[in-house]
Amino acid sequence: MNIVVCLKQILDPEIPAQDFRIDQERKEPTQGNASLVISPFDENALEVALQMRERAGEGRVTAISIGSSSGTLALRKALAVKADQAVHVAAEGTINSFTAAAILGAALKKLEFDVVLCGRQAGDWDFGVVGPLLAESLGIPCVPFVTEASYAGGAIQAKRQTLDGYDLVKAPLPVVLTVTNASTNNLRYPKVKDVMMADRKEILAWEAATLLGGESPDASIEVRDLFIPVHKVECELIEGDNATEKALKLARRMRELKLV
Amino acid sequence: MDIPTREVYWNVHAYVLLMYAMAAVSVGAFLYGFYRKISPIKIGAHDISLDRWPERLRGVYLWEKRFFRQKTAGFMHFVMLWGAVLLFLGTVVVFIHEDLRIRIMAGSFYLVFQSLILDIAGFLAIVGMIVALARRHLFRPARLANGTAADSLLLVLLLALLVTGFLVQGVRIVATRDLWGAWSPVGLAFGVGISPLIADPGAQLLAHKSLWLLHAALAFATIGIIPYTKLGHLIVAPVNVFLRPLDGTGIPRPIDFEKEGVLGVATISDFTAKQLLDLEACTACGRCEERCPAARTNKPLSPRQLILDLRSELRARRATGVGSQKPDQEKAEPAPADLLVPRAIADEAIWSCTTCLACQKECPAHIEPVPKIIGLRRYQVMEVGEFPAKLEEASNSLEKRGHPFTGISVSRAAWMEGLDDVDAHLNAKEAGTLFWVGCSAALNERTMKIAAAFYRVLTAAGIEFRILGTKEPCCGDPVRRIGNEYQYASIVQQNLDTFKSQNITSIVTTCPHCFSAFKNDYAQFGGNLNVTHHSQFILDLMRSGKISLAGTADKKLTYHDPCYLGRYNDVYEPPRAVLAGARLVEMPSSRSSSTCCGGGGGRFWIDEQPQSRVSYLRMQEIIDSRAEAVVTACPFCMLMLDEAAKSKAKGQVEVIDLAEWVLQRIGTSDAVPV
Repeated sequence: MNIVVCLKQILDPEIPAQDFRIDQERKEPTQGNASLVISPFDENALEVALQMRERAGEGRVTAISIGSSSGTLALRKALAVKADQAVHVAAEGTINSFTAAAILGAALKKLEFDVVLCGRQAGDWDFGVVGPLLAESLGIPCVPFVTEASYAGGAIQAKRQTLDGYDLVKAPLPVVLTVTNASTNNLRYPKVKDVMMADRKEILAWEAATLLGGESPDASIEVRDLFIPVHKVECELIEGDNATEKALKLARRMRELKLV
Repeated sequence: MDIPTREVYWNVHAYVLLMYAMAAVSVGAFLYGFYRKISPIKIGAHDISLDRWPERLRGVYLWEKRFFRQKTAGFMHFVMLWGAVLLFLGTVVVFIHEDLRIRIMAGSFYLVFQSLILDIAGFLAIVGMIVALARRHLFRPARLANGTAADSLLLVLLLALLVTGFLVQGVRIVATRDLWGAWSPVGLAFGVGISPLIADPGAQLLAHKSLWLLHAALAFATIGIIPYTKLGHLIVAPVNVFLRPLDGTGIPRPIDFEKEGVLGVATISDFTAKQLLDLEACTACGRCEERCPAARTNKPLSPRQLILDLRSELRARRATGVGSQKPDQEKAEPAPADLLVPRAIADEAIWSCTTCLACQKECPAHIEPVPKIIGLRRYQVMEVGEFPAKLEEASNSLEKRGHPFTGISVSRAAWMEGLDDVDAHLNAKEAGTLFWVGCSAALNERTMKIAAAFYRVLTAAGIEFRILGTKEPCCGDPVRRIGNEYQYASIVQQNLDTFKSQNITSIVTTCPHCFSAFKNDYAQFGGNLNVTHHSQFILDLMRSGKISLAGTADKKLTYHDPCYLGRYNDVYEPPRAVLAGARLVEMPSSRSSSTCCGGGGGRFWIDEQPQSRVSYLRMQEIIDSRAEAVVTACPFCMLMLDEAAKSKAKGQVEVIDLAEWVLQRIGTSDAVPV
């Protein structure tokens, strides 16, 4: 069984809000002090891939990432938790969900795959469409919001989170699964020896332009504006000698402001 | 014959050969027993060092001080130990006098040393043994609750040894009408006491002979069983003290990742020889457990039990012969049946440790549980990859974003807001001293006030210093204590490179964890930094007149010793000297007996149930001191105690950092009210 996991490297979503900056010109966040991390749901997807391989007792996990050369960091991490292979697709410029799905689709044509795993949405833009778009372009089914999956009898059985519980879904191969987080799929901690080994492993380096055969994919969407929302809080202290007086003044003020 | 002496072997000349035979058996059993006890430690990597031996010897001499950390137990040990040593010397005198025929046992030396001093020593030893028995059976401290019958029997044996000794002496004095008998008042008293039973000279001779034989048999039996019983500590404990690590008590050793086979401690043979010797030095006295914050809050860790469990493991290995050969450096994967965790040591036990070092400061045998726990953690983290999720998060966060916290809302720049000349200090490339803020002070709304306060103190004193601002990374302490040495080694290397490239040689910090790391741990990696804690720095500023404190003694304060400042680095007095003008009350648990806040060793990240929070234990001690505020000198202690002050002390106790207390008294207009 061949499993491909798509990993997006994003700016650390955990940085404090006050450290977050955007580039108005390019309509993109700037890195600033933020570090680059694997998008959280993609980490869950990687864990699901490793579990599927373990349960089946065989199989091959390939991690793939698109973007600048920094993306190899995510792939090193994948190799450290014992992904069998890593592919980095170098791509320049802005990549949105549509271009990412197109590049991944082209890359998958060069790889053997039975199952493709993506995080349910990226931790930066939160679009959540790469998985379905990819499935559509490949003409294969897509099961979203999966927390666990296993391979049985030539098909995939997946646990799919729903609003009030879960569905057990069976799907034929090949298939795209998008993964959501659950207590069962936090990415394991790599062993030091595997981290050291991962540093010595080769990462396949492909070019997006070559994969696409010179065609530029249809971006389909355009970011018109990007800004940091400002939450304005005005605070007014009601003074008074005792609680009764304060309550009265508060009531009066609230009426003035037409809040009641 | 007027020279005071006595006839050696009076009345028992016929049994001298028998005595030598008994001695031979006894010494043989003694030597074999120790060989058997000690030789298994060679399954551990060799790390026994005899360098700097005068310092080592001095440690053995000062070792007694540790006895007296507990007064009754200290007295008991003192009189028993010195009684045994002096009585042994008395035997040596007899040997020199009789066997080497150098007649020293005469004159005033005989009277004062061989008679009077030994008599008193023996008597005090008897008192010690009675105290020891009483502590085991009448006034038993909790830590002796699991004492065994064998423990008591040994005491009875020793008591019988001394009493028969005095009886032999007494009967001889009475029977020979010893002219100098009064120089042995205790022996004389025993003789006079027993004489009504043996008035007849024949009975006296018989009684003396029998008692002498009994005494000799008991004495040689005692020597023979030393290595087979807990009496072994008479030898192993001082040897263990002598061989103690001299640098950085409790600081884990670095790992050579290129050479090391198994990372951390998987099986008993992964400990070093000295660490294994520790196990044989334990008498199960329980002083460690009594001070251990994990044990005191009913967590599944007792340093005593840990050591005893590891010792059982070592002895089981000895019995089966497994691991009796020294393993190769290129050792294979440890056999699953030999893994210590969780078979011999519970997983939760190793994660309950706050690395506070209280156990080690208390241990009379200088046994070190903390590096052993870190060794066990290292294997779990680096080889198994399984450890508490919260600690995994901290490790991951440190790797991703250079600090061990998750879900923080303040940036590293936040503490600098509103301070004067921040840019000048950020760009002060030439100013030597670096004010290292540390993650724990920079990244929390409460503790960043500590950083700001110390910044203001430095500014008020006109000190030239620099800060790294948002470029400041983490010192790595949390991951080292968690057992992630691989991650730690890379952090240290990066930081040392940064310091070198920016010409930083001198560091002052408000965080004892950073302080201790730079001072002790980084030195293992070639770091040569001049590191000062802010309590020391402030004291220097006061002494050199750069700042002077005004203001009245207001609230009643107590001082909480942070573990990594006190026990790890012996900085007990500077913060107290800074607080000299305050109304300071000391808690009974202070200085090296201070109770941990609960935040060390990665425990900061682990959520504890309210009923088992170490911080509540400490807060109760603070409440009991009747202080209105507690001053501490560590941002981690601040966070732990501040939470406990709110929830446990219902806000009745204020928690202040030393820098904040000082700033309030420098009289700058922008003092932060705390």
